[in-house]
Amino acid sequence: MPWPTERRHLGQATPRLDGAAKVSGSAKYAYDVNLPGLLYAVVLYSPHGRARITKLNTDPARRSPGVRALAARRQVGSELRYHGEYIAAVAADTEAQARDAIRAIQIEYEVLPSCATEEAALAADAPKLLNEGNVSRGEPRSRGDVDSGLRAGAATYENTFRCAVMTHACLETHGGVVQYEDGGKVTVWSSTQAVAGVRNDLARSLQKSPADVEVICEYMGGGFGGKLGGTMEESTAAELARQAGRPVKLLLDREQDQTFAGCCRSIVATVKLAADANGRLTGADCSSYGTGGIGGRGGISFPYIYNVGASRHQHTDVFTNQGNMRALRAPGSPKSSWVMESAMDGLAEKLGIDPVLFRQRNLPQGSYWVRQLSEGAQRIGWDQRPKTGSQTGRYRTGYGCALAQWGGGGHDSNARVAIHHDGKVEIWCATQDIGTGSRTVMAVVAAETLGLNPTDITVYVGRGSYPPSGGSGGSTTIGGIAPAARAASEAALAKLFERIAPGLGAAPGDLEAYPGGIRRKGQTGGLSWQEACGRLGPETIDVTAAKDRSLGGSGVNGAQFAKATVDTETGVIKLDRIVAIQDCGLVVNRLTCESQIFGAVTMGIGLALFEQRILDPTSARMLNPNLEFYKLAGASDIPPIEVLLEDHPERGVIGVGEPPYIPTAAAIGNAVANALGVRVTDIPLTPAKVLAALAGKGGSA
Amino acid sequence: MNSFELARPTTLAEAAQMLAEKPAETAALAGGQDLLALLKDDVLAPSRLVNLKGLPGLGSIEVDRQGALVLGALVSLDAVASSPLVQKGWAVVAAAAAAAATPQIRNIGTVGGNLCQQPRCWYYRAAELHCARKGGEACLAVVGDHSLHSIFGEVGCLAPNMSALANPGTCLGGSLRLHGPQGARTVSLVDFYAPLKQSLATATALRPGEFVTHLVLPAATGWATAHEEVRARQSSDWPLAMATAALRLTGGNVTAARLTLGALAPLPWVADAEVAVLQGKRPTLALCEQAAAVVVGKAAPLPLNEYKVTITRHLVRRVLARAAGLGEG
Repeated sequence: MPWPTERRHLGQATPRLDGAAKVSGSAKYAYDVNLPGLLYAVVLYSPHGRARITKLNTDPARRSPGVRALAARRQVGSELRYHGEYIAAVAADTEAQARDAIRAIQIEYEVLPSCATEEAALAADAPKLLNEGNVSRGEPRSRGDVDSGLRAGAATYENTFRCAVMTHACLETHGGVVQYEDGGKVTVWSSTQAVAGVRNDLARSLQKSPADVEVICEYMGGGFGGKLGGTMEESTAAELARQAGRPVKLLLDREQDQTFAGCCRSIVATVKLAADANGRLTGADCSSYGTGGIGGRGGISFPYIYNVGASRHQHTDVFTNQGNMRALRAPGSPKSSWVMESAMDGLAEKLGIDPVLFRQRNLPQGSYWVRQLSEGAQRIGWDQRPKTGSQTGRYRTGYGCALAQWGGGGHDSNARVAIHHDGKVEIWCATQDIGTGSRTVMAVVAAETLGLNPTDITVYVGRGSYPPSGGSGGSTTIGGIAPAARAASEAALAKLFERIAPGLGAAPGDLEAYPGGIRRKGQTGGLSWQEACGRLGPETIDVTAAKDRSLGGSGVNGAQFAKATVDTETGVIKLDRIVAIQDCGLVVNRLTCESQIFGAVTMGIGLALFEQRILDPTSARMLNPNLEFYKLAGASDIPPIEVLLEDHPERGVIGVGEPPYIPTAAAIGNAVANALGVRVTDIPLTPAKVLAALAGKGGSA
Repeated sequence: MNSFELARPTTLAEAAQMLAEKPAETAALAGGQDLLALLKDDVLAPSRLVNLKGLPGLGSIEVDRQGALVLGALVSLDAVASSPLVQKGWAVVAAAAAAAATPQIRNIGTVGGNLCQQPRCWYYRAAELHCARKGGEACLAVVGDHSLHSIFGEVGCLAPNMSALANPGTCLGGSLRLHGPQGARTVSLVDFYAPLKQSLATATALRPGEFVTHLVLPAATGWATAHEEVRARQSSDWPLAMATAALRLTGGNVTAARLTLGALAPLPWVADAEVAVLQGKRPTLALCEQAAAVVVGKAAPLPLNEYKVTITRHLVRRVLARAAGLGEG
């Protein structure tokens, strides 16, 4: 059945079903799981960017008070390639004992020359970090005659844009609790974005059947792509638990979370764009490199979303001594947007064409973006945008915009619905709530389908053994679970009709759910939901269904506008306003949808202004593996964010977790460039870089 | 973190004795906002903590008979910030306390702890690294990342003094009452931090067994003051620079000028001599700017913290101008 045209709950603002549990503290996260006999695990990890272990004696740790198990991950002779790399883990009766035991391990290192930056790794005399070298050069991709295209332009713009390596910085660090049950089954409470995926991965690494592994994640404190797999914490905890015969809790400390547990690649992209006098792009060329740690690979997309007849892009991955990248909210896309959208503004300035108009001339005609740009411009007050570089005072205000594109099509998913004779409705799905409101959206869909209210539905998520669903990556969750909830609710309702129709002297097909009850189609009055379910007797309706693919779509668009004021005496940027326009197909729950956009924009502010993994240039040791100097945007840094949420029910459900993160930094960068008349080409836009650009060092037009 | 003994003295004399027994292995505990983090990170590993919180007479905000403000070492930063007494007579001190850290830390962190906090440096605070401040050969920030470090005051360590109270306290001629095995004594804030210039091993004038009992700020009557800090992130961040200015104006002319900078040198950086260019003159923006240029003329930045010179030049001009009543400068 398609989505209903008259919607009671879909698209409305439904508060989170688990909101009270979260704010009252009754919601239990992996860290909150405490079991009888629980042991605490602590990890010994490399303090060096690059070193070889010359001595390793774990005996003192084994003999240390309270220690019950020890797992070594590296040996004498092992080369450690980044700060935070696992060496060994111990489990003890208390966390303090485990920490003491780790300190009792006798270990010595030969510190080796390291590469903290891409430039260091690219240098001719750089130490060779991997057998295959420090560099992986990608094939150039091109279409059309790029050189002619660039020559044909009435104006060209060339610049090099940079973006630092950043980390996921989840408030809840990676890890979980592992318990071996009687009979050899294993239960894992994990902070994960993929209960089903971790269940399969862990089963493989423990050489067990998935049937004998349960993965539980009731709530999680942030993942952002870094908790989709990579079960090092869980498999280490499992080894310790097996050795000790007791449950083990292993959650990384903040330092290792920041160094080992994922990052987002850097980018250094030299871009050249050309456009004709009418403002149509004629050529685009990009040469980029970046690092995603000691083995991470991946660049940017170029020329991003724009129509250019002739374009070329070549990317080189550079390996450096830092923990590897993992997916991070729309991997690569915020950087693609930063590079291309910055260059677009630069070229618009040279052409003397308004940046909004310039974009509209180079986008597919009739695309959402063309309209979204006009709407956003109006909403932010684009007509107040000053001429770039025209201001001279201490505080200078500018306006900027940028665009986003993402897929967000749903993954495969199933759901199980039970209807009981007392009217209670339950729904199960092996998805997880990574903060996006999975329980609430499934309840909204079930309530809409059954004629109930979302608070009438009890939703169970966060167990790998529930009906299969996908990991929460790529904004694919809602497009999986909402259609699955719809399909399973419909199937359960059909069963209910079958069971009660004879008593009503009707055919099942004559019945329909209406708000609060069941009735013959077209008639007023009928059985209340309770009355109808009361006719079921003890035999509960219990059905599982796969999602109906026709209920989901893919492909979303967004535009964001930023107004920013720069203090030219301090280099500090203050954001005045952000306007975020976003489509995502059918809006399931307006509150959690808007919440995703607020969160994404906030994270985009961090990308633009604050976040960067700072490594010591000599040792490649991370200097800010904390939340004190690894700075996230806080409340006082967040301006009013106005969300213009487009509802397109005809397109079905599409995910929105990632796309609003994509354009924020580029929009802010363009606002700063408009304010100053000089472009700061390197995010985060720190006071040091802003002041250097103003002084004519490190910036450009 | 090492296991440690928690000693709970109830008198000043007892506290001094407990601190003096094994001074190298003993640390004084008040709010613990700095100390506990250093213990957890294995930067410090004392075998005894002497908890000062049970000591009498260290928890009040008072004005003495000479009109001086006397802040007990155990008074919280929040109490300093929200005290009408402090706000009225020593507004720059209240402002500095209000700008420090987060509400949670201001509720727990104390006056004494704020003044005695350890160096704020990511090399110093990494247990595995042996920097000059910990007896190592070199300041690792010099060849490393010193983007948040000092631009003034060559002492062989670039870690800046981040004490929110030391900055205006020094500018206002403040002093500290200390208590030790030999009883009580008073030292000026300038002298309290001065030993660092002689040796990195002596961060303060505290002798074995001594601890801070009070911060004393003379009456600021007759002084026009201004304080400001610059930070990159508006929601709780360590400052990139702090400045307090105090001017005495007679008949519209400057008869005395003081300036202290924070977060820019290993100790509160007194630039009274540099702002003496204002002496005897009617203050103008141009004059403030001139004084600021003289102040930063003493800076010796490294490549990554050169931007702090620009920030400081403008900051000094602004605080001087505000103190002089020239508006926001």
